[in-house]
Amino acid sequence: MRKAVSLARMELRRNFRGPVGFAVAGLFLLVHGIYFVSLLENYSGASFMAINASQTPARLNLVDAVLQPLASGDTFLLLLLLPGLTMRLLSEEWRSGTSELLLSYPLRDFDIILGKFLAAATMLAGLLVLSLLAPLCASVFGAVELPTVFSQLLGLLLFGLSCLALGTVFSALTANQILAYGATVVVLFSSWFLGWWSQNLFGIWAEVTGWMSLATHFNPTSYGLIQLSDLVYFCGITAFLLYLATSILNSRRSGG
Amino acid sequence: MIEVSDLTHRYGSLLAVDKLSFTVREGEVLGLLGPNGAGKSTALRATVGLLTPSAGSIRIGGHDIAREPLAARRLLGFLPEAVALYPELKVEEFLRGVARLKDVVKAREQGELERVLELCALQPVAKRLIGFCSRGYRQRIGLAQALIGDPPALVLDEPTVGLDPGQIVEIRERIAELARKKAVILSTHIIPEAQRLCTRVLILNRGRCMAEDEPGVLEQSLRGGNGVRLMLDELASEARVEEAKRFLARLDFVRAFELKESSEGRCAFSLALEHRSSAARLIDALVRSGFKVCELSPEKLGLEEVFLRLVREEKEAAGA
Repeated sequence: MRKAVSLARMELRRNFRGPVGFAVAGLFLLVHGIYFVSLLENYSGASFMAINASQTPARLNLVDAVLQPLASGDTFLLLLLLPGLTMRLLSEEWRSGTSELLLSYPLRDFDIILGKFLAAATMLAGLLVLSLLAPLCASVFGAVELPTVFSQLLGLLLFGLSCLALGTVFSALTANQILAYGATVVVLFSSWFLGWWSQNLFGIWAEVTGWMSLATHFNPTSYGLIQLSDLVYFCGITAFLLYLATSILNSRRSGG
Repeated sequence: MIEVSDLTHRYGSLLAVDKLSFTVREGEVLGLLGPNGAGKSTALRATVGLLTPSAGSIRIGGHDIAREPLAARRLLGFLPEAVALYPELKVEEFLRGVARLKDVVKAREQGELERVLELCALQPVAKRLIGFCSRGYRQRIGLAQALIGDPPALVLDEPTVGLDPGQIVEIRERIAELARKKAVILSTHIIPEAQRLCTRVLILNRGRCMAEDEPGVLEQSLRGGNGVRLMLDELASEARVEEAKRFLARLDFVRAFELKESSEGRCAFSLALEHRSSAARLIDALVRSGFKVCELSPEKLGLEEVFLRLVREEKEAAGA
C-alpha cells in the first residue's frame, strides 16, 4: 500500500505540473457552477410564484429543486471528464516507454494499478469537495438536509470510482490516449442509456438492463437514500475492473 | 548474482532468444554484443522481469524472477535503452519517488538520494524539471534511478547511445567505477566500449549465443591459435610467391595461413601458429630456406573483427 501511495503522489504531481489536472478541475467547476446558478434561479422564480399563488407546490424545496438535479447533472459531467483523467494513467506510460522503468521496480502489478487509480481517485475526491460549495451557497436560501448532501456525495464518489476503474482498464489496454478516452466514454454512456432504455422495457429485461446501469444505482443516493445493494454494486464493479486492469498489465508483461 | 539458464523467448512464430545461458558474478561486467535484432534487448527485458520468457529460468541473487519477482527485482537496477522519464517531475522528486518504490526505508531516503546525486554528478540539476534537462543529464538520471537502493546487480541497455563524446566518456567512467563491486550486464553495439568495460563478452546472433569469453581469449581462440603477421621481402616473381606459399604449407607448426597483400616484391601473410613459441622456429626455417623476413609481429585481431567474423560465419551457415 505504501508503494501505491508513493506512486499516486508522483502521478498527482505530474497532473498538476501539466494542464490535465487544472483543465479537468476547471471544466468541472465551471459547468457545475453554471448549472447550479441556473437551478437556483429557477428555484427562486418558482418560490416567488408560489408566494403569490394560492397553493404552494408540494415538492418545492432546495433538495428536490436544486441539489438532486445538480447531483444528476454532475454524474453526466463526470462521465465526460473522468475518462480525461484516466486516459493517460497507463497509456502514457506505454507510449513514452516509462513503463519499462515502472515494471522493473519491485512493485506488484496491483500496486501499479492501485497507485494510478488512487491518484485519479484523489482528484475526484478533490472535485467533490469543491462541489460542496453548491449546498453551502444553497444553505443561504433555505434549509439544506445534511444527510441528503452526504448521500449525494457518497453516491457521486462511488459512481466516479467506477468510472475511473473502467478508464484504468482501457488505459491499460492501449498506448493511444484518445482511444482510451473514447472507449471509456462510449462504454460509460452505453451504461447510462441502459438505465433510460430499461424504463421502456418490461419484466426481467427491464430489471437486468436497469441493474446494469450505473445511473440506476446512483439515483437513490441523489434523493438521500443509501441502499446496501447499490454500495455493493459500485464497490463490486470497481474491484472487478481494477482486477481486470491488473490482469491486463500482467498479460502485457507476459507478452512483452 | 545473475544466472540465466536456457532462456528462450518467442514472439509468435519468431524465435527471438534461443536457449541462452550465462552467469554474472559480482565484480564482473558481461557485455552483450550483437547486431540489431540479435535478441539482446529481449534477453535483457526478460532478465529484469519486463517480459515473461517462453522457457528457461532467471535467478537474481538466488531468487527466481518468475516465482519471487519482488525479491529478485529488489536486487536489480535497470537502465533501459533511450531511457524515458517523467518530464513534469523535478530530478529530486523523481529520484525520491523511485526510492520509495524501491523499498528504501524512510530514514535512509535522504542519504540515498544525496549518494546517487553525487555519484551521477546530478547536484547542479537536482531542483530542475527533468523535461528541461539535457540528453546527457537525462541519461545520468536514468543511471541514478537504477542505482537507488544500491542494488548488487545492474542491467544497462545501450547506456551511451545518443550521447556526445564527452558524455560518453563520463558515463563510461561511472560504469567502470560501479563495476568493481556489482554484477553488471551491459548491452552495446559499440565494440570499443565492450572492450574497455567488459570482463567477459557474449556475442549474440539470431537469438543464439555465438561465443562467450574474455575479450582477449575470444580474439585468440577465433584465430585458431597464435596469430602472427609475416612480411617477406624480395619475392619479385609470381613463382617466388607460390614457392613461399608451398613452403609455409609444408611447415607442421603453421596451422593456417593467408596471403593478405602483395606489392613491389613484398608479401604480407597472416599465419595461425600452433604455439607462440613456434615463431622462433618459423624465422629459422624461413631464413634457412633463403627467404628474407622483414617483419614478424603478433597479429592484432580486434573484438570488432571477432564479432564480424562470427556473425558472417553464422550467416553463411544459415545460407548453406
